[in-house]
Amino acid sequence: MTLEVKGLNLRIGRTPILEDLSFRIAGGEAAAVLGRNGAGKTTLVRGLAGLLPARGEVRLEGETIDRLPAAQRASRIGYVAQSFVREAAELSAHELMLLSLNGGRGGWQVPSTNLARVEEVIELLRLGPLANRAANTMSGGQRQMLALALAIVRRPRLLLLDEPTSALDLANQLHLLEVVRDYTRREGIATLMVLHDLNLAARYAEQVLMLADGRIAFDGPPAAALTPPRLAQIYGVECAVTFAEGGHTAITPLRAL
Amino acid sequence: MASEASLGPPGAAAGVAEPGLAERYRRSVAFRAGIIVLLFVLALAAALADLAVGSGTLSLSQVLATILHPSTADPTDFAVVWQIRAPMTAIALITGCGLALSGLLMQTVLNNPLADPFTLGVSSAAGFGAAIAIVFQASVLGVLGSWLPPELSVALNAFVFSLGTVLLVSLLAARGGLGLETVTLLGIAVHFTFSALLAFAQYVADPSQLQSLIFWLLGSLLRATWLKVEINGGLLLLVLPLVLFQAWALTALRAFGDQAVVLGVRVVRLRLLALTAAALLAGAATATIGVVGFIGLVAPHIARLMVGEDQRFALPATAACGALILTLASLASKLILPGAVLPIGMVTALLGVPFFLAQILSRRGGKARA
Repeated sequence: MTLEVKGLNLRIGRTPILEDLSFRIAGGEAAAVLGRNGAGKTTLVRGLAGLLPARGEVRLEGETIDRLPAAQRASRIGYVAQSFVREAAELSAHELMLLSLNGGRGGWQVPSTNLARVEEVIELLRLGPLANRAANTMSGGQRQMLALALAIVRRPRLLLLDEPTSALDLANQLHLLEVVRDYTRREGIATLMVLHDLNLAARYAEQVLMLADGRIAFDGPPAAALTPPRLAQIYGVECAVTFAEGGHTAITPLRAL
Repeated sequence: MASEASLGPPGAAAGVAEPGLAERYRRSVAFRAGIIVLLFVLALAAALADLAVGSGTLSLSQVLATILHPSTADPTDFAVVWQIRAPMTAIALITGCGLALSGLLMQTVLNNPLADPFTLGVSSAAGFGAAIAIVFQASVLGVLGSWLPPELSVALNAFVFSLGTVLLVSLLAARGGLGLETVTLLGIAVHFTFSALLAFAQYVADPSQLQSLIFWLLGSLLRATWLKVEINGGLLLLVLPLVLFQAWALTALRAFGDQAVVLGVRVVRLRLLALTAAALLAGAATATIGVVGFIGLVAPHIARLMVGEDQRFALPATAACGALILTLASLASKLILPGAVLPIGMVTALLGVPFFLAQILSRRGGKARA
């Protein structure tokens, strides 16, 4: 499921945020979107998810998805954001996952295949203890894991994640990103995730998109992206880049330039 | 992790929670469906009691006999039951449903638990619409309105004003991309504008006009006729399936807000549809029985406390709660002062508030539903 984006323009109200973005994510791979605050990372994800009007072309496995009817487009995309589930939502995780599967459709029925699919994802994400908890009694981190479950349960072909680990503890950060990586590879889907943690990007992304001033400043593999000169250019921070055990890149910020 | 193990059935070796969850879900669906059926049965029982109570001295068995065998019934009993009491009871059931659903739709769409036909200004707009018919003898139909009987002219004015208000507020919201708080504030602004205009109409009215206006504003079932039953019932039958078909989408809107778009929900269109439905129901109900507050606010809360946020269950439960509350209020309005029928608008609040408070205060530790 290769994602191809050509000449994408996004604006919020009348303010242009992203201009003429073109990039490609190969099926089975995850791309990390990096950049400073205000670079347009969230706007990119929201635009691809259909939450903002966009100009340009978005093709998924050769099919132009930005011109599809809302329901068909939605059936191909999984969207994860920390604020996705309203704090006040009194539905349980189980109910919300059924809703995620059925929400775009009319009617009343819950096919038994949907019940089975929900249980499958609950097990995959180890959400068993949360299944019957109401979302408004969950912590921010638990709601974030739930948001991933709500996306994955729909069998998306494009997974969009906006800072999916921002509220998670260390163990759950790794757990969530491992689930995302395994799922991306197993299903051969394209995944785009906005991350702030450069070490997690180095570890879990096959591709890095660096945004600056509404444009792509760099597009390439993590090893080429996460170098001291480039990090200085993008973030204005001097960093030391070393290689940790297992060949992972480890980035230590030293000082602001 | 103990809680994780407890989710599964005892003795399930490999599966963590699989059989337990699906079974739990089925049980919870059955439980909620049962509550809805119970609420409707209670509403019908209340309706039957409402038919049996009135200024005459008909027994329940006489009422039942008149309903079941109208052709063989005593002519006086027939007139009392079929011409006087039955339209009132039917209107109580139908407008109770309508006002309650209207409140639920507004609360869901505006994500505001305090939204109801009052907060969007519908009731005060309807009140002012009625006032210009009663006090200024003006009709929304212009000169054509003079052909209408005065009572229908009042109802039509009230209906058009309330519908227009909601459409105006929702169109502004849909077009300008206004935030939900702004829409609610807009509703409050509309409410106070029409309240002020209504006060002006009351100020310039002569004593007899003032009396009919006040009587209209207090809300009453005494204006019920079979024609009004047919109009309100027809509208409910038209709107209800449309809204029920959107139950999943409405739940998604409630849980995810604007982001329900990513599930394929056409949020702007859904908001418009739901608010139009809410306006039609509230407008028709208010035009028929006058200003009856409280039901649109409370019935959805009670229903959600019982069946949860899933609109597939919350919508019918709310409709049943509304019908039950208004019918009980009608019953009480005849029993409180023997020989007199109190205005229904007064009774709904007096009857509903203690029940509502009891529901809220007894709700401890979130919702631990089966």
